[in-house]
Amino acid sequence: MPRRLFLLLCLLAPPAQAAIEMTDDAGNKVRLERPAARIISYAPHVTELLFATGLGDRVVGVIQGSDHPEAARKLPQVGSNAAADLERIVALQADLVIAWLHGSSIRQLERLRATGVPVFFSNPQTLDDIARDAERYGEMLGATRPARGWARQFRERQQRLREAYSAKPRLRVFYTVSLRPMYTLNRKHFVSDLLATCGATNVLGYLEAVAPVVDVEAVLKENPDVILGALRLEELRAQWSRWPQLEAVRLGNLYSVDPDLMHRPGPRAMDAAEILCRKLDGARQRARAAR
Amino acid sequence: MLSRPRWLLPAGVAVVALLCWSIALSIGSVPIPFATLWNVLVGDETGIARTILVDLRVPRAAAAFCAGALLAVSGCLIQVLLRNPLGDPYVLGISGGAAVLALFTMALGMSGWWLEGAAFLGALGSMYLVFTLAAPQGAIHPPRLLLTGVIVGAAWSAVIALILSLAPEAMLRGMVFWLIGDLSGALSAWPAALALAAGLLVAIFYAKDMNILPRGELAAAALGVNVARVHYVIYFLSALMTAASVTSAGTVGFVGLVTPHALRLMGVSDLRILLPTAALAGGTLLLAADTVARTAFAPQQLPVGVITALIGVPVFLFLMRRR
Repeated sequence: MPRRLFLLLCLLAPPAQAAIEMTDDAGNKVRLERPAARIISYAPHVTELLFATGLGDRVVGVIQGSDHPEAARKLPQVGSNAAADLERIVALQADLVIAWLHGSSIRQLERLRATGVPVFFSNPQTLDDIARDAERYGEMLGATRPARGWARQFRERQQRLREAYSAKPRLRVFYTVSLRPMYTLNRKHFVSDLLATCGATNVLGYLEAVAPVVDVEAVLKENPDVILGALRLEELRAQWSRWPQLEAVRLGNLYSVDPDLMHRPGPRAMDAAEILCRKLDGARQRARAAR
Repeated sequence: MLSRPRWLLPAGVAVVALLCWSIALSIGSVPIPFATLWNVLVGDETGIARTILVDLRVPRAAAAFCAGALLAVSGCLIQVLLRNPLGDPYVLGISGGAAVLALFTMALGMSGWWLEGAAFLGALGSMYLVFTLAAPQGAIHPPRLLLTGVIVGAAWSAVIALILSLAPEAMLRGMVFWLIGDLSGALSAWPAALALAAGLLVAIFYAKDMNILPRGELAAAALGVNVARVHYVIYFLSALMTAASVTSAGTVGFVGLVTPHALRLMGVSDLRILLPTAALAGGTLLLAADTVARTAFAPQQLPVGVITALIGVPVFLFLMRRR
């Protein structure tokens, strides 16, 4: 009897191909019996990264707002940050869902996991995390070599920026996401890593909340050299030109940045970093000229 | 309770109000010591302390005070009109109408005066809608008014929920802050201050008649009160004052419900005293709450509506137990 049971178990055992196990950014172990071939990308940055590493053809469905690259716009949409269309995801026969850790649809995705679809949460907080994400996707999709190659190049670009800007005079920057309410991002958000790469410090990065609402007084007190806003330049000027005693206003160091580039921890974040570093270097030159 | 001079409570509230004003102007990310407050305010120095005081703290404190005062007076009036202790400036759906139009303009990406104008327009529209539904023949029947207000308010809540679920993610935060009540974006305290002064004057003018209303409409009429006219005055006055408050501060909860009750529990029932005292007390409550909201975790800011409830509930329960 035990012998027959053993034989039966042998028959049921998975094929020789080794299972892939990976820890995601929520601390969960994600286990895949074979490399994923049908992927739901449940975050715009994930879509961009999969396409950038040449794995875009495995994506069968995307979250609303996956507007880059062009090819991603044609893919079926399977929900938004507020709610996932679970039936659609199941119907697409996905064998891996990669999602951002912050969406309010996390509870729904947990249910999806319970039905047996592996869900991997990604939450890159630095530029290096993006390279690491590419490597982890590569392993889960059985395409380690191209993913590693891409990650190496990505890291080299960051290294070049660091070499060019880290020795220059450090700039103190206030970063605004919106004006009503006026909120900024703290050190844990990857915008702070972009700033650091360009030789700048986020003056309110020490706050505990990731996206804290702050008041004008706090900015007057910190008196930053540069004010960046993910807003239109006119809005930024209208808000801050009332405070000419601010160093940033006096020097004319108000800059508008593109929220899509700055806030998406995907492959284009390095483009954002390069643009940002050049802007900040302009700010640095103004500061030097004023002295 | 022994009979106290009638001015004692208003005077006490005034002292607390003065204290709260001084604290509100003195603390923040850049502390301005109590002792130097006056010198900075009237002196001719042009440092950062003066800028912060004159351009940031005074306008914001004034906006908070006026919004709170408007809500408290409006709450007193509504409780008299409905003869219902749960009467509150928002119970008649006025804030809901303001919120719907305010959120809608936010969703369109507009702000500033557009937003305040839309909120005011929404409040007026809702006021008109509730009135025409509740009093088709022109006479206000309080229970019917209350029911109509609650139902219209429920409809607004549904529309608000719809806007919140369809709005782009990036705008949600601004919307939620507006709904909880937030003074960081108040543009100018002047419209609210004018509304407060005018509203309070008219209300006090009619206070004598309103004092008689709780005895019943028949008794009031027998005593020579034009009940229908007083009902009109109360309804439109409280609605306009609520609209003015919501326009500058968003839908801050609790102040309008609790301030009148608290003062009544402390023994004020004559509306000629209650109305101005409520203005002072409501203004002070919202000013104190806003000071806590912007300094408790400074430089991080909280929406003021959270704090009004956190301060107001225990104070109110304490007063009620003491009785």
